[in-house]
Order: sequence, then structure tokens, then C-alpha cells
Amino acid sequence: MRFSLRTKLALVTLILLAIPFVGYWFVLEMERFLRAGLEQSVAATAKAAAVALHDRPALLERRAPVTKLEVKVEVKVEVPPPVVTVVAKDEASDNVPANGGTSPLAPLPPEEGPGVRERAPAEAPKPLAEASTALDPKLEIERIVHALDRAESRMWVVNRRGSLLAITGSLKKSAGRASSSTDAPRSAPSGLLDKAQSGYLQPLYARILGNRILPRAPNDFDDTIPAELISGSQEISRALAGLPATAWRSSVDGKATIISAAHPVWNGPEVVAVVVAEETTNAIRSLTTDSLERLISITLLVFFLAAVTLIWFAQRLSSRIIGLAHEAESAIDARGRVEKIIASSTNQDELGDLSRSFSTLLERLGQYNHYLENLAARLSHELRTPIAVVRSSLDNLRLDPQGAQSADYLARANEGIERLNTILKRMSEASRLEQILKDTQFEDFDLAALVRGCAQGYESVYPGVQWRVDAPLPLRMHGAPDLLAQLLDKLVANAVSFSDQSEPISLTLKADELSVSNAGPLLPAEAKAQLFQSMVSSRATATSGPEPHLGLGLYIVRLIAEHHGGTAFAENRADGRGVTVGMRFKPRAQI
Amino acid sequence: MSKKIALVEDEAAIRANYAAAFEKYGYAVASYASRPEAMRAFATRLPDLAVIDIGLGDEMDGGFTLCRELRAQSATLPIIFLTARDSDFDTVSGLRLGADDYLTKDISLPHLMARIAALFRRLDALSTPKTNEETLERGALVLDLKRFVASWNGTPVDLTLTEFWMIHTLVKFPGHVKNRDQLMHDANLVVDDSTITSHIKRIRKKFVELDAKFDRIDTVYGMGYKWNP
Repeated sequence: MRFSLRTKLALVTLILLAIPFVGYWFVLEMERFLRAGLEQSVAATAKAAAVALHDRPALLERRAPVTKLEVKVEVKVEVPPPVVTVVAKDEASDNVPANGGTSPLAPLPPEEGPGVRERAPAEAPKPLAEASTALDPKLEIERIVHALDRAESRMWVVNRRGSLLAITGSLKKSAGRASSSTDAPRSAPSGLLDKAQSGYLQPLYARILGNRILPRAPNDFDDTIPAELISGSQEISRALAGLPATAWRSSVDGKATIISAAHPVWNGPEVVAVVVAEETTNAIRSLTTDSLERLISITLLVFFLAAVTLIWFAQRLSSRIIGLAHEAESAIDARGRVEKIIASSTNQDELGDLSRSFSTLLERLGQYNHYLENLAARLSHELRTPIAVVRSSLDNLRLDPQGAQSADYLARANEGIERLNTILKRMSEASRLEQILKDTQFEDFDLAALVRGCAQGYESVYPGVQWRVDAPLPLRMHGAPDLLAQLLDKLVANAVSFSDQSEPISLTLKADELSVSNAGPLLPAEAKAQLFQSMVSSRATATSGPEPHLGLGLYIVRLIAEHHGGTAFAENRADGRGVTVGMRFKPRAQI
Repeated sequence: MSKKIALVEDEAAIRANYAAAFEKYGYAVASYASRPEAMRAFATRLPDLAVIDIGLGDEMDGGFTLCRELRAQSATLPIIFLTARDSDFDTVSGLRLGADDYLTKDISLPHLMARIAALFRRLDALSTPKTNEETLERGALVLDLKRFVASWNGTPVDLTLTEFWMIHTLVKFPGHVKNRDQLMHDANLVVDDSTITSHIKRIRKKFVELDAKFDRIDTVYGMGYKWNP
């Protein structure tokens, strides 16, 4: 399994996915903190209301309607369903409350249902209500409590007997408030993110993540107060015992979470009533949900941007590396020659360094190759002086009259020095050729005539060798005929030395190549590419004849071929019985 | 009186060997190891022939300098470069400085002596009046075999000894192809093929300088060269 750098970096961007989890955790913390704050503030509200009612027994004791209410409650408790239905009324709204219709039991007259319905004070004419506040303890209590009321909270007062003395406020958002406070930024989305969020993302999130992670705060929850809550809830019991208490509960239909704080109302040393303040967590919940949604949106945006940036960066890095790899690959050809030096990058980073290292490396390699290619010439040059010493000494010796035996030794020494000299000449031939190539002038000539002429010459040079010349068509060529003749000489010398004489050596001139083919041993597979290098010979045994083999012949072929813009090639024949060596012309070398 | 040869060569063994050989052939030899030493000697008396190495001790091209100075002192003094350097560039440079021949050190002593003898013969022939001339005429080409001087359409062609011998080989039997071995043998040379090729090229160039339409020397690829009659 191979992962590209791009894939890996794309995978690394997944680490950004940690952001929403951290954010989610943070939002939950925040929610917890807000809930604690809410709990405290609700408790404080309850306490404030209770304090306002302290030591005002008149209010709490004058209670003609409350007794009735209490009776009804008791009746109701005996008869199921044990639900006290309260129609809450928001005082701020003079009109019909937006949620009025949603209250399930609102229109029931007190005599008809088993539930207790408290009549909303606003339904009575207002001036009348105001006029009667002094007289009606219920209204008086509500007035006092309402002064402490908070938005979307409800307060009620219950006495020791579990009778509801007064109730004020609503847990639900009223239409008037809805547009004023918490929903203000959402109703008029300003930023692009907000627009996108309210327009497309919220429904999307809701669909994908569901209501559990992103709970929407519903306004249509059932806000009735269960009867057993009034009579027997823990916090009220504790408050009646004199201790303020808070408790969390779900609304009757489970859609909302309600916190209720109960605080005792003291009349002297005794608890006469309990003020209960209630508030839903809807505000917190919608805040949390908003935060989460924003978090998700921002995370998505950041994730997208980071991913795009990282992938772009990875793409750039990887394309630079691939480019460098290609360059490095093409810098050295199959023969191990340094073709071109990598242009060293000016980038001041590690890849730039790498490119520069490659460049330096190739340059040194090129220099070394050059040194190797020149080695023969340098060696022959350096050896020439000592050989001249030996040769002139031998020549001097020969001038003196010698004994018969000395003449033999002299002849042998001379033979040796001649051979050494031949070797040296061949070694320097290639480098001399390189010099000659530099100032050779090209001319137009008929290569076919040259090949035929050369072939005639070879018949006398290599007696006993059979030839087959196939150069029927004149082939005009722009080049150096001397050099091409030399190339052909080398090809023929190579073919003759490898030929097993089973068939004629064939010289073939085609429109795009000049080749010499001989039957004989095949090319060693491993050395194919190196055949044309300086001083590489694929001969199995060093020839011990007078003609030393230094592996320079095919190197010269290559030099000349390349000087003419062509390439030298050596390949096994298709019939597997021999080898073809030659030169392919570059197309425009012909005329 | 024997001819005096000056040998300027920094390699002691070669110097001694060549000096000994020259003496065996009956020449007087004065050998010098460096250019200043040779120049001091040449200031008082010029030799009859100078054999100079190009690289002299620390001076990479000391031989070239020496050749130029010698040529300034005498236009006729035969100068032979005898060196290990065999590049075309050095050959051309040496000949352009006025050397009569440019030989590499792998030449055998007999070959070297043949050249020196030929140069002395040419010197003698030039200094004596033209008697019993030995010439070879091939159309516009006239070879003076005693003076080793060639002329084309009456104009002397400035050939080195090696080049003269090659031309002589080619024109002796016009139309016959002379292969490289024959050319080398007749020119008292042992060089590789590309050296022969450069010699032929130089010869052609010298004739072309005199006559732009010169095309007498033909290359027979794979075989050698021939003189077009």
C-alpha cells in the first residue's frame, strides 16, 4: 500500500477534527456553568420575592378565594387527573398572549373541570384590577411578586396547606419578547456566516445531528404545574421546613427542562408560605445550540480552509519533489553519463538544499566521468616520456655493435616497446578524436558511396573475410566523411573480431541507420548499455595478439555518432545468431 | 666540420640518449636543459639545427617561446619540435611559429636521423647554386627533391618535411591509392590514422590557400589517399 505525500498530509488535516470535540466539550462546560448561574439567579429571585412577603401575614391570611381554591385543589387531588392547570399570563402583553391558544386547558370554567384554572388577572378589566389590588390579597401578592419577575420565568406562592395563593409570569416566550431580546441577532442575520447558518446549515445540522446534540428550544412545551408538585415536591417540602431549595424537573410533556427554586416566607418564626420561582433552560439551551452551530460552522470553514491550504502545500511540495526526482533521473542516462546538471534551486528550504546537493553531486560525478574519459589520454601522455627514454636507449644500443644474443634481447625489448606504444596511441586516439571533432567542418556527401568505397578497402585489409554490402540508394548526408569512415572502420573492426566466420559480415545502409552485423557471440545483457563507454570491452578474454583491445573502438563510434546528432546502438540480431552494431542518424542530418 | 645540433630537452635521460645518438651519427651536439640556458648559448653562436621540446621544466610552453626567439634570430635555421604533446593544437601552434617539423617522442631514432639529414640536405641545397636539379613535375606541381621544396603554378608551397614526403609519395604514381601505412613509411612517421588525416588536411589547406580550386588530393574512404593527375 503506497500513500503519496498528498494523501498523508490530507490525513494529517483530520487532526483538525479535534477542534469540534474540544469545542463541544467547552460548550457543555459553558452550559453547566450557565445552568448553575440560572439556578442561583432563580433562587435569588425566589428569595427576593419571599423577603418581600415576609412578615405580611395579612396578605397571606386574608384569603377568602384561596380557601376555595384550596378546597378545589383538595378535591382535585382526590379525583384524577391530578393536574393543576394554570393559565399563565404575561402582563407585558395587553392583547391575547401568543401562547394563549396553546394552553390546553385555558378556556375551562372553574366549575366544569376537575382541574383548577386560575383566571388570568388581565382578563379582568385593568382599572378594576388596579382598584382592587388593595382589597384582593391574591392580586396584591401577584403585584409584589411580579415586581421581581424576570422574563420567561414564572413565580407562584403556595401556603402551608398546599394552596396556590398567587401566580405570575409565564415560562413561555411571548410574542413581544421574542422579537426584543434573545432572538434579535438571529432574526436579522448580518454576516455571511450567520446567513448561511440560519438559511442552510441549521436545518442541515438538525437533520444530520438530530435533536439530541443540537436541541432546539421549543416554545410549545406544556407548562402546566402538576398538582403533586405543589403539594408534595421536595423543594417545597424543604422550603416549608424553612430551607430554600432548588430542583430540576422536566415539563409535563418532557419538552423543556424547568428549574424551580422554593424559598420560605417567614412570618415571625414560622413559615407561612413558599415562593416558587421557575424558569426554563430554554434560553441557555438555545444559546448552547447556537454556540454549537456556530462552532460547527466555523470548524467546517476552518477545516475546509486548512485542508485546502495543506493540500495545496502538499501538492506543491510533492510536485517539487517529483520534479526533482524526474530531473535526477534524467540527469544520468542509461550509460551512466551525466547528461545535464540539475539547475540548482534558489529556494531557501530543505528541498532547495536537496536540489543544490543533487546539482553539486552531479557536477562532481560529471567531473569524475570526464576525468575517467580523459584518463586514457592523460595516462598515455604521462607514459610517453618514460617510453621515449626506453626507446631512445634501445635505439642507441642498436647503433653499437652487439653480440648475437644481445640482438635477440634488443629485438624483444623493441617489440615490447612497440606494443606499449600502440596501446598508448589507441588510448589517446579517443581524446585526439574529441579535439578533432571540435574543429571538423561538415560537408554534403553521398554516404552510400563512402560505404561502398570503404567496403572495397576492407576486402584488402581483411583478406579471407566475406562481405555483404547493402547500400543501394544514394544517401545524401551532411557530415564529416572522414569521421564517418572512421566510424565504419571501428564498426567493421569490431564485427571482424567478433565474427565466427559462419556468414559474411554485412554492411547495411538504410535511410535512418548505418549498421554492421556479424554472426557470433551475443552481447552480454548486463553490459549492453556500457559498451559505448571509454575503455569498456565485453571481450571474454583479453586478446594477446599484437592488436591490443582497450574497448575504445565503440567509444569512438559513439563520439562520432553523437557528433553527427545520431546515436550509437548495439543489439542482438532478431535471429539470435549475431550482433548488429551501428549508428542511427538524426532525421534532419539527411538531405 | 661536423654540423652542430642544439638539443633543448628537460628530461635528462632522453637528452643524454639523443645526444649520444646524434654524436654517433657524426653531429656535434650541445644540449641544454632549460630555455634560459639555451638562449644564453644561442646569443653567442647559433647552431646549425635545433631540436626543441615544448615543455621545458617549469615552462609549459618554453619550447614555443624559444622557437619564436630563434626564428627571430635566423629565418633559415631548421627547427624541429620533438615533444610528447601530440594534440593538433600544439602541432599547428608549433608549425605556425616557424618550426620545420613537429615530431612526437615516439619516433624512432633512425626516423629522427632521416629527418635531420633531410633538413641538412635541404639547407645545403638552398645554399648552393642550382646544379643538376632533381625535380618531379606533375602538371602545376613541381617538387624539388633536393631542396624539399614544392611549388604550385610556380609559387612555392610552404610544406614541412613530413608534408613534403607525403606529397611526394602521392604524386610519385598519380592515381594510385596510397594507404596510411605507405604514407607513414615514406614520411618516416609512426602515427595514428587521425594524425595522417590531419596532415592531409593541412596539406590540402596549404594548396587551397594558393589555388582555391585545388582538388587533386582525393580521399578514398577505407583505403587511403590518391593524387588526381
